[in-house]
Parts: sequence; structure tokens; C-alpha cells
Amino acid sequence: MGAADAFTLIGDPDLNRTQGFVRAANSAGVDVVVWPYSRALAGDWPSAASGRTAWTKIESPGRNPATHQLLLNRGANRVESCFSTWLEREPFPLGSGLVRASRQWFHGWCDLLQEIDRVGAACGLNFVNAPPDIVTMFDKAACHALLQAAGVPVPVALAPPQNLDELLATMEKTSTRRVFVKTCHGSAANGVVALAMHRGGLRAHTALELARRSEQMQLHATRRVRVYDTPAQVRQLIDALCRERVHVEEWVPKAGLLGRTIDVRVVVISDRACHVVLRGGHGPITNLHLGSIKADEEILVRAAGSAGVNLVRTTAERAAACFPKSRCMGIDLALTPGFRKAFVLEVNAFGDLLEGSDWLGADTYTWQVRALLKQDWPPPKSQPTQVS
Amino acid sequence: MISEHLESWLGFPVQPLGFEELNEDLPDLSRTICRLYIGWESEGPFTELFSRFLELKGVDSTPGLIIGAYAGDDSGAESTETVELLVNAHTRLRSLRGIFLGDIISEENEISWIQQSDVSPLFAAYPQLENLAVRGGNGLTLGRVVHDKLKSLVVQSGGLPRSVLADIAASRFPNLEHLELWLGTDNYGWDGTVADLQPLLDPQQFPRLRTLALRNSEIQNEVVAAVAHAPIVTQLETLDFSMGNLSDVGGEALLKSPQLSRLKKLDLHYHYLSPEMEARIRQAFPNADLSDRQEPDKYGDEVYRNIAVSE
Repeated sequence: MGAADAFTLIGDPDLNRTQGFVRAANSAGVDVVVWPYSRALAGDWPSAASGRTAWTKIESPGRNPATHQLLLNRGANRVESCFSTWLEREPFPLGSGLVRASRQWFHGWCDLLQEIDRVGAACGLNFVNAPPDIVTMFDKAACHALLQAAGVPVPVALAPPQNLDELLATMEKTSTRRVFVKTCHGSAANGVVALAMHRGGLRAHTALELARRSEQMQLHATRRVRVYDTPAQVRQLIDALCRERVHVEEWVPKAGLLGRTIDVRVVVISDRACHVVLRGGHGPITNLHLGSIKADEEILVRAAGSAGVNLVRTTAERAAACFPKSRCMGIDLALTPGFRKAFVLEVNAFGDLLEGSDWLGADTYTWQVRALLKQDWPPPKSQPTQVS
Repeated sequence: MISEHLESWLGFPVQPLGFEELNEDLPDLSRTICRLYIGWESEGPFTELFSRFLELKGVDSTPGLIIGAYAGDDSGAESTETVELLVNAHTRLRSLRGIFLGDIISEENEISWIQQSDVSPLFAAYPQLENLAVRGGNGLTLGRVVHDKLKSLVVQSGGLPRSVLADIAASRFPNLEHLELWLGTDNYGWDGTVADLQPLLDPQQFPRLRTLALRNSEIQNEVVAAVAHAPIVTQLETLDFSMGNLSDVGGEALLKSPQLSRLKKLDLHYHYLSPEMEARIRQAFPNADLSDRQEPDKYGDEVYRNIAVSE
């Protein structure tokens, strides 16, 4: 193995995702230089970046409190006045699940990604996912606009509101009675509200918890989906969420399977849809870490037939094609009841952590390494497997 | 939470039928049951969909009809107009043996939001009807009716008004074989007590009843205690107390009723029985379905035993 074939990974060494990629690369005989965010944030770049690296993979900054705080500091002077900030002296209480200053964090994250891009350009690095693409994927409104412009099926978006009253006015104007309100820069279910209008009332499903702290209402991400249906609570919830900058989409009804409401994660690697994982929940919030199920693609084949699975795969590939400089994305899709239509809900720059999920005998990292090295790549076209 | 539509009903496959499917090849309607629905994009009025359905070939021989999301994403729309359409179509739908009013999944509209209406005109319009199922208890009136052919009556709800129980008690369904009521929770409209169930437990009320399902109840233990010794049990083949908050109190009540062992099936799935109680019940009643055991939710000092379908 020549030295030129080493990879660099920007990410913390103790994370599962880092270890998964390193393991896959090592198995293929490739060394990986793991460069932690603490050093990247200090402007300290690996000397290996100058020439020795074939591919550079930017991993998730994860939930490291120090990293989070440094990104907040970096975005502190850029955040628009209508969004919440964290300018306190004490470090951001990441472990409490507090949802706040996500716009500020996003600005810091963008700034770091731009620096990575500059360093990359100077050293001639090849990124697995290009930093400007990651910026777009971390902005749900921008991502939605890009997909829509390319003709990829996405739910109809509503104008971003500053508060509940604006949201209700827009819903009224567009005759939209059910919407998803998401923080533009949040990940997973941290900051998702499914809001439905009913006979003048409102009902909100969310894993967010409202808590009063002195004068202000705070939002905390939890693992339990709850329902808010009193007018005051829904107002507090949506008003607080809008201070994080939100993206609003019509609520496309999702298909059910195994007694749950499902959505689908597809990992697209170098333009090919690979792993397909079902996620299901008791209610409209279907994200994995809220006690949802992961089910094998075979279950989807049984229910939706090959046509349904192909629809999911091709739609995911069309979404990924909007990012030609990125080679590994996790595309979340909704299938409508009867599996008739697929809509792209999200594109995740770090959507490849699917523990215990193999496709054609290998995990997402192994397929990624194969694609980067162009060894055992492309995978056979005869997917998905037929189920008798 | 109900997350899936019926794929078959009364032994026939179900064909979803919205505006889009109208333009596609449809199966033989004499051997298919259609579910009429308006999607979330509200592609057109239900009245138009319904009249185009009535023009389809074979509709006069179709054995059943399922009404799905009849108002698209308008969760508050009452079913009044839908019932009228059904009533007015009775000469065209002359082979109808089954009507399911409201196969609407939670992603389309929550069961507690479905706004039903007075469905009693259906009984007069369809004297040959054998199966009637309704989802949603809000605003529901069954009326006080006499219907000789009805074999199966199902009312699924997150909270059933006691007035519906009174309607059933005051009606005559001499050939009813299957009675299934989802009682629900008082958060979503259940306002009854076990006293409201007593008239339904009289063998003379339903001489041919074989299946009694009083399920999805937040007073499941009391329901069990009231029914387990009732005289009607001797004529039943299936007794169903599933989907509610059944716990060991109700388990003890079951054990005191040895006649339950004569049932073909004692459906207790989705329950909160302890493993010890589960074992005792399994011993006493080999016919019991004890699947899908639930763990209570605990928040602080509060313990919650949620029923299967409520909001």
C-alpha cells in the first residue's frame, strides 16, 4: 500500500462513526489519520494534508461539549437578532438537551467548514463530502430549495415564520392544515414539531419539552414524544422554536407498517442507493433514537413490492445527485400510504451511521471505502432482493 | 394508534380509490372492496369522487364499500354528507353487504378528531347489510333501529359516548353475531361506566352473538369483572378484552370465572398483566391470547397504563 493511499478523517477518535470508517479503511489496507475537532478548531491542520491523503472525510462534530462551545463562540458575532443566542459565560449545557442558539452554532459550523474548504483547496484535498455541500445539508430551507429546483419530490414548503401567528396566517392562506415545523439547523428529532389544525384548535406532537426558566420558555430535546394541545402551550412551543429559525413543510401522510408509522433512510454512496432502513414510531415522529424500530429492507419489499423499493431507491439517488461533489449521504424519505409516492424529507451529511445494518454483506463504511478506492465497486445492479 | 389501512375486508381485497386511481386499471369490483379517499392534497370534492365511483363498471355487484379519509386533510369535517351519499346510492349499490365508515389512519386524521354523525339512515337504506363498522366516536349516533340482517357491528373509537351504548341497547339486531366496541378514554369522549354495558350482556338482546369485544378501554379491569360472570358468556365463542389497560386486578377477576375456559378464544393481547399473572391465566385458559405485553410508563411518581388507541 503506497503512502498516497492514506485517508484523513476530521472527527473525534472515540466516536462510533469514526471507528466504523477507520475499521473499514484498515480492512482494505488503508491507513486513516484521525484529526480531532479540537485541533481543527484551533487552526491546527495535519501536515499529512499536504499531498499524502487520497481522500478526506469530514465526520460529524458529534456531541462533544467543548466542540459545541467553540462552534458557538465562532458564530457569536454573526447571528441575526431575531434568533436565540448563547453568549453566557458558562459553557453551553449540551447534556441537558437544551435547544438554543442553533442558528449561532450553524454560523460557527459554516465558518469552520469554509476554513476546511480553504485548507483543502490549498493542499489539493479530495473531500468525500464537499464542505459547501455540508453547509447546504445543514440548512433545511436551502436544502429543500435545491431539491425542489432540481425537480426532486419534496413536500411543499411554507414561508418561514417568526412566530405562531405568522405560521397560522400562512397555513390559512395556503389552506394547509397539517405541517411539520423543524429547526433549520437541528439534527434528528431535536426540534421537530408535527402541528395539526383542527376546528380552530391545534395539536402538536413533539419530543421537545417546554420548561419555564425565569421569564423565558426553554425547549429541551427528550426521548419521549408528547402532545401539546392547549393554545398557550402550542404558542410557547412554536414561538420558542421559531427563535431557532425554522423550516416549515406540509405534513405528507406516511405509510404504516408493522403497526407503526414509518419513514425510510437510504444511504447513497457514489450515486448508488445502498442501505435501506425503515424507521417506525407510534405517531408522526419517526426518528430512530426515540424508541423507533429498525427493520430490514425485506419487510418493505414484502409490503411495497419491488416497485415500492425501487421508487425509494431512485428518489434517494435523485436527491443525492443534487450534490455532485458529495459521495455519501443519508436521505430520509416519506412514503405515502399504499407506497404510491416518495418524498424527500431530509438529506443528512452524516447519515451513514446505521449500526448493525448490512447491505449485500457489508456496512455503510465498507461500501464507502470500496467506492472511494474503486475496488469491488460498483455493486451489482440486481437490487433489491426479491422476496418469495 | 392505527397506522395502516385495511388491505382486505370480508374476505375481499381492498382497492384504494382516490381521484388518481380512477384513471388506472381497476380490478373486478364484484370481487373487490374499494376504499374511497381524498388525499392530503385535497384533489377534489368527495361528492365528485363518489359519483364517479358509482359510474364504474361492476359497482352494482360490489360486495362492500369502505369510506376512507372523506375530507382530505380537513380533520374536522363531519361525515353527514358522506352518509347521505351512501343512502342515496342504495339502489346502485344493491349488492352491498358491508360498509366501513372511516378507515382513516392516524397520519390522515386522529381517531379522536374524526367527526362522525347520525349513521342510522344506513340501516333503513340497506336492509341487506350484514357488516357495519365505524371509526370515530365523536358525534356518532347509531339510532334506535331494528335490523334483521346485521351480523357484525364494530365501533372503533378513542372514546365512545355512552349514548352509543344506549342506542345499541335500544335497538334490535336479532342476528348479530359479532359486537365490537372500542370504549376508549375519558380524555377523548368516553363518558360511560360499566352500568352502561349491562344491557348488552343480556342473552335475549343478542340471541346469536358469538363474539363480544369490549376493548381499548381505560376501565378494562372493571369491564372484565362485569362481563366475566355475565350469562351471555355461555353462548360466546370469543371474548375480547384486548388493547385496554388490563392489569392484575382484572386478571384475578378472569381467574374467578372458570366458564371462560370453554371459549374458543379469550383475547387479552396488549395488556399490563404481570408475568406471574400471565402464567396463571395461561394455565387456567389455554385459549388466551396474551401477546403484546405492555410496561406501564412511569414519570416521577405517576404510573400510566395507556390504552392502545386513544388520541
